[in-house]
Amino acid sequence: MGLEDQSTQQNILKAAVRTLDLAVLARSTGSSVKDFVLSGPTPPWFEATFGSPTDISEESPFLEDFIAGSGNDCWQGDGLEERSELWQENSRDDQLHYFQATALREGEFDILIISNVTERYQQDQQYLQHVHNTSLHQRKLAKEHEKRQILLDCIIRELGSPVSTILLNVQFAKDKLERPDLREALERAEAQAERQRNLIHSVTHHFQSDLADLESNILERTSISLMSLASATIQQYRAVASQKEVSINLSPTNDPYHVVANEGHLQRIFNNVLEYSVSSSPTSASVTVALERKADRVRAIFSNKGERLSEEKQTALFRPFNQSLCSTSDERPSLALYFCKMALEALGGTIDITSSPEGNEIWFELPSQSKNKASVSPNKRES
Amino acid sequence: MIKKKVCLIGGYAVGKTSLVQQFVTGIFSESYLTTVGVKIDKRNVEVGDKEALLMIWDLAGSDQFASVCQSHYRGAEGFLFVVDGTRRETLTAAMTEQADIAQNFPKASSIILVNKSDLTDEWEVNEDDLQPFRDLGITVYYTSAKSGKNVAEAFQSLTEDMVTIGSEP
Repeated sequence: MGLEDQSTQQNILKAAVRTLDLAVLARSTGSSVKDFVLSGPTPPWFEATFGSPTDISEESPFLEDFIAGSGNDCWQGDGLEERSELWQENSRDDQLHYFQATALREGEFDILIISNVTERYQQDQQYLQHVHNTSLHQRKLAKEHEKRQILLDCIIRELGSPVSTILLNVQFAKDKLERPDLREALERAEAQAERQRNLIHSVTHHFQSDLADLESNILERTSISLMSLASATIQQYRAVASQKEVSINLSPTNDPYHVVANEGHLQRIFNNVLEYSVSSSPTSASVTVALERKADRVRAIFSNKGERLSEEKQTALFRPFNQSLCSTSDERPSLALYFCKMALEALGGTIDITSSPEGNEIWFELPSQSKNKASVSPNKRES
Repeated sequence: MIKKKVCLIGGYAVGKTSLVQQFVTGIFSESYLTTVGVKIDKRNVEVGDKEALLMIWDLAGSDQFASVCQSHYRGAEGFLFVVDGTRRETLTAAMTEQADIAQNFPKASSIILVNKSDLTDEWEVNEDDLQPFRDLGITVYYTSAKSGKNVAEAFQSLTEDMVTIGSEP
């Protein structure tokens, strides 16, 4: 039996249709939807999804629409191939399938091909999901930036301007006064107002440069071992911690805990969180740093034996300018933890604190780098 | 039973799939899963003494990477334009789509859903922005697929409108 043999050729075609996971239906041109018959092998999903070939229009509203619309344009019209979009069907055995329909005309026959494209759907879905997530994330960053600019304007207007007015009035009154004791009092007030104004300016500038730095570097990401970074940062910080008689322990692990981030920012985040943990720890106690995996994320946990924080203080910890809530200088994180929050969110991570009578656990999370490094988008360089 | 085809139209991530899921199953999921292609769901809606079977076509949101295939609108009697109230640009996209559809399907019923109304802190769409729709006689609903607010009401209203138009001589 040679390749020219008709039954051999049919067998080859059947094998190809099976491999491509297609259902090929045909009818004589001009006949009804009910006249479609399966031509070739029946794929395993066909009956569970569409019933018999005569029922396809009733079982699938999408196919009903395609046959009456684009399909008919091909079969009754110019005969040019028409292809549908992907669509989703639930089979009777509750399986999800994704299909694509194609209408063709071959001689006196109308042909309808239903392709199972579940694999292609998954690729398309992953790609679009990534694109949409990135776009939404960038939009969120832009909105956050706008909010921060408004906050800066508020600081300048609501705090800076009244202080300047007070200063001007104090200077004016001082020049008019004859009594030396009153002049001295006003000089003290003038010095305080001047200090206050300089402080507001310095905080604003500091905040603004943090923002500019964060935004200009956020796309420069490399693959970083969080374990190596933790080890190096702790080593550098031990001398400072020892002044407070606080020891720092890093839980041992063989996992390098790779993440994709901006190295400078990650170093600063680690440093800021460590600094806060040490400063809020009681003297002669220890701070423990541990890394662990949480699903597709890496979590860094900094535990100390510090005093339990109220809910209000926990929430305020990552907000800018929360000094009013802090009773001691050790509790004052100023902009450091706020910077950590901004930087981590820009990297797709998060930061939080868990406080209990036994102590505090401040932790941050970042998406872990996937083993095949597929998570790094083309605009982000690999080291 | 009267069968009515309804299409959900709007940009990506405005909450079209979540609205359908809330209406059909009463379930809401926090995670965002981009829709690819088309998904059709069904639900019966009572209108007076009549019952309508809604065939709800959830179409992938359009963006610069994928556009909606207009052939899906064929036979549709109702359109739900979905806007994300926390992203003003999705309103502009809905306006363009609405103008296009009004021209090609002048007899179809339309409703605007300004979704994610539970996210009030991030709200970006105001009443003035929606006035052009109201001026065209299009009803606007502030919906939340998360809480279910106004979801059933919007589908009910659209169905009533479609049934009324359908029974006109």
